[in-house]
Amino acid sequence: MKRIPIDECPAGPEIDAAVAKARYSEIELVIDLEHGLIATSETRLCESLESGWIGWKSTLNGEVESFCLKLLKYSTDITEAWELVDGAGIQHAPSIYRIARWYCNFMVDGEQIESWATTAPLAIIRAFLKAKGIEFVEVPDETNTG
Amino acid sequence: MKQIPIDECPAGTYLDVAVAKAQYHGEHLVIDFKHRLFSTSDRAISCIKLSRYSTDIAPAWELVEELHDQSIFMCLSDENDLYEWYCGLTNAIDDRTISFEIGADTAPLAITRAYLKAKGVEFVEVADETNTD
Repeated sequence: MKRIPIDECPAGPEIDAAVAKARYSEIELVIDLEHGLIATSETRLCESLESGWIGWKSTLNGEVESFCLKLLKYSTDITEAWELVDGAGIQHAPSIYRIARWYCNFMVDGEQIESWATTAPLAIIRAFLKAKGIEFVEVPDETNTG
Repeated sequence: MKQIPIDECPAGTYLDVAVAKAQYHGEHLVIDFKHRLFSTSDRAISCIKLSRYSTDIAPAWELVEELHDQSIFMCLSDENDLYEWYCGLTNAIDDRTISFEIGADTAPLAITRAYLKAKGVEFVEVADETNTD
């Protein structure tokens, strides 16, 4: 694995996982990138990600041990990315437009956080991650950063 | 039915129908409001599901991309952080601002209104009892 700057990270499960961790930073998540799944023992996440609900794992005595949810495709799906603009507590004066590439910015504590990308969802989540103070994403060594 | 300005038209079926009419400009559309389906009157195209442009971001974004393909760029912002979205449209061919500050409570509604204005649509037909407040 290698760490690359947010602005060089391509769309895909690695950056989607970084968004999920940043969005639910107070909840411990175990992310299976290969299958696009999140496991957590917290019911709060299941409630807020109802559409991504898959199921649960129970212990022998029937108690729920952990929940399983789909890792949302924030970096490629505008509906998922838009949740970060509209409903993730970062929505300070967002601005989104496209000239040659897509541009997104948020104001956070008086500072303008901005990002460019080839698609709107990717520009939005890069800005979101920066707004959350995340500067690098872990990706497999063979990841092409273009 | 009555006609109301785009800026006063609430999100919903009437605005979504206006988008379909703008996209099939020149065709006479037969609309099934109840089931949100439409066809062309010659039935060359029938039973197309009406997308929820004015309420869902994904179909609204298709309108952004469609305009971009015509060199009309849309800037979407919530600059005042008042949960009111504004759309600015720029025609990239002559760098002319063709419409500016189209506001709405939600991004899909702002996009839909801006798209219709870009298409030269100023009014939307709605049921007489439609509340425009």
